[in-house]
Amino acid sequence: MFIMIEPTSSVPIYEQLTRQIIEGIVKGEIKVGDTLPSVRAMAADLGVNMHTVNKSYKALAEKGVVTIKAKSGAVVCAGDALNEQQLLYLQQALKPVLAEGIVLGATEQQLENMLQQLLRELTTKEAML
Amino acid sequence: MIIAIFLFIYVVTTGVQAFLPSVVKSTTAFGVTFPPQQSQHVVLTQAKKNYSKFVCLLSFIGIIVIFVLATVVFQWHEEQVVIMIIVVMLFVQIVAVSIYMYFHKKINRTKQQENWFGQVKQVRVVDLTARQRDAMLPTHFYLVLFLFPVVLFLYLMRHYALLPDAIPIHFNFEGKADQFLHKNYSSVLALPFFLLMQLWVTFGMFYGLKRSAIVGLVNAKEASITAQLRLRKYMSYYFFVLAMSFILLVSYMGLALVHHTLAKPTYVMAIFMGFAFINTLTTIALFSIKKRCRMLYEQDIVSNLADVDDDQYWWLGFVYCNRKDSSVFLEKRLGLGWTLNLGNTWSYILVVLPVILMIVMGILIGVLN
Repeated sequence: MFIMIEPTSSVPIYEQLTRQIIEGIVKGEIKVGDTLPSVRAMAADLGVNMHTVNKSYKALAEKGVVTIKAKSGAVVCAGDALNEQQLLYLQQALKPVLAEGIVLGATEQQLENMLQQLLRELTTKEAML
Repeated sequence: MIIAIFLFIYVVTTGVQAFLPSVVKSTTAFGVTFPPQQSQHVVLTQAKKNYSKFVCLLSFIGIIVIFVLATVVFQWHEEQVVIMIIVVMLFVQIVAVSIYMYFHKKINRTKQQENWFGQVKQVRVVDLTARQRDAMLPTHFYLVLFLFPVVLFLYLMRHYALLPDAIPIHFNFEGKADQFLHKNYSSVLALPFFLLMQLWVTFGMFYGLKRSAIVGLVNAKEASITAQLRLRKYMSYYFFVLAMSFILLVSYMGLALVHHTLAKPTYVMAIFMGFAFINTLTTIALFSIKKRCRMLYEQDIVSNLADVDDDQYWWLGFVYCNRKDSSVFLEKRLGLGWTLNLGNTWSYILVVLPVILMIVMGILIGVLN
C-alpha cells in the first residue's frame, strides 16, 4: 500500500500518516496482524524525523488501531468492540466539522449525503488521492 | 602509443561530460527539480540539446587545435603533446561546468518566474510493503566478514618469527615488491588494518544504503519502487563481492608473508590481475543494472501530482545536505547511482571516517619509511 505525504499541506505530516494508515485498514489494504514498517525505516522513507513517525504510531496506539510490541513493532490489531468512550471521542471530533458546515449554510440533507458518500468511498477499494 | 591512450581518455571524459545531463534523474535537469508535467518545456529540451552540442563541438575543436599545433606549427614531441591534451581536457571540463552553471541558473529562473510547482500538488510516495520486499543481503553477512582482519592479525602475530625483515607493501607491474617496511609490531598491523578499513567502507556503503529511503515517483509508483528494490538488491551483492575480493587479496598477501613459497612474482601478478578482473567485471555488471533500474517517467503525465521539490537542500544541484533527512544515500541528480547526504552524521561515520583513516595510514607509512 502506498502512503502519499504532502509536505506543503497545512495538515501536519504525522496527522497525514495516521489518517492514511487508518484509511488503509478500512479499505483492507492493511490487514489485521500486519506489522507497520519500523519507525526508523518509515522516517527514512518519508524523509522526516523519527519523532514524527513515533508521534503517529503513538496516536494510532491510543486510538486502539495498533498495538506497540517491544520486539515486533507496531502491529495492526482487530480493535475490541467500540466502547462508549471511543464513540464519544468520535462524536466530539465530528462536531466542529458539522458546525462549520452549518455555519456555511449546508442543509441537513447535504450533510447526510456527504456522510453516506464518504462511507461508500471508504469501504470500496479506490485510490486515495 | 602513449598519445593514443591519452587521446582515448580525452574522448571518453569529454564524451561523458557532454552527455551527463542526459543521464539524470527524470525529474531534474541541470540540478533543478521540475514537475514531470513540465518535462517537455522548451527551456529544458533546448538546454540539454545545446549543452551536449556545444561540449562536443568544443572537444572536437580542441583535438584539431592540438593536432595543428603539434604537427604544423611547433613539431612537439610526445610528452609535450600529452601535456597539451591534459591542458585542453581540463579547459573543456571547466567550460562545460560553467555552461552547466549557466543553464542551472537559467532553468531555475524560468522555474521561479513561471511558478512550475504552483500548478501541481507536491507528494512524496512511500510503499508500506517496500521494507518487507527489500531483498538486500542481511547485515550479519557483512558483520561476519570483520572476523577476517582479526584472524589475519592473530595469525601474523603467532608466526611473527617467520615474517621477513622487510615487509613488502607495494608491487610493480611484474609482481615484484618495490617498497618495504621494517619489521615491527606496527608494520605487521598495517595489512589487517588496511583490510579492516576497506571492510568498514564497503560495510558502510551497504548499511548506509539499507538505512536510506525507498521512495517512489508519484506518477509511476509501482514501477519506480520495484526498480529501486531491484537496484538495492544488486548493490548489496556488489558490495559483498567487493568485500570478499579484498579479503582474498589481503589474506593472500598475509599468507605469503609467512609462507615464502607463496610469494612468487607470478602468483602475485595472478592474484592482482584476478582482483582487478573481478572488480571490473562486477562494476560493469552493476553499471548495466543501474542503467536498467533507472526510475523514469516514460509517458506524458496527465495528473496534477509532482514529486517533492527539494532543491533547497542541493548545493548547485549535485551536493546534498539535509539534516532532517535520515537517509545516508539518495539518488544522484547527475549520472547514475547514489550520492551522500552530507547533513547526516551517519554518512561521516560509515563512509567518510574510514576513508580519512586510510589516507592517514598511507601518509604515516610514507613518513615512517
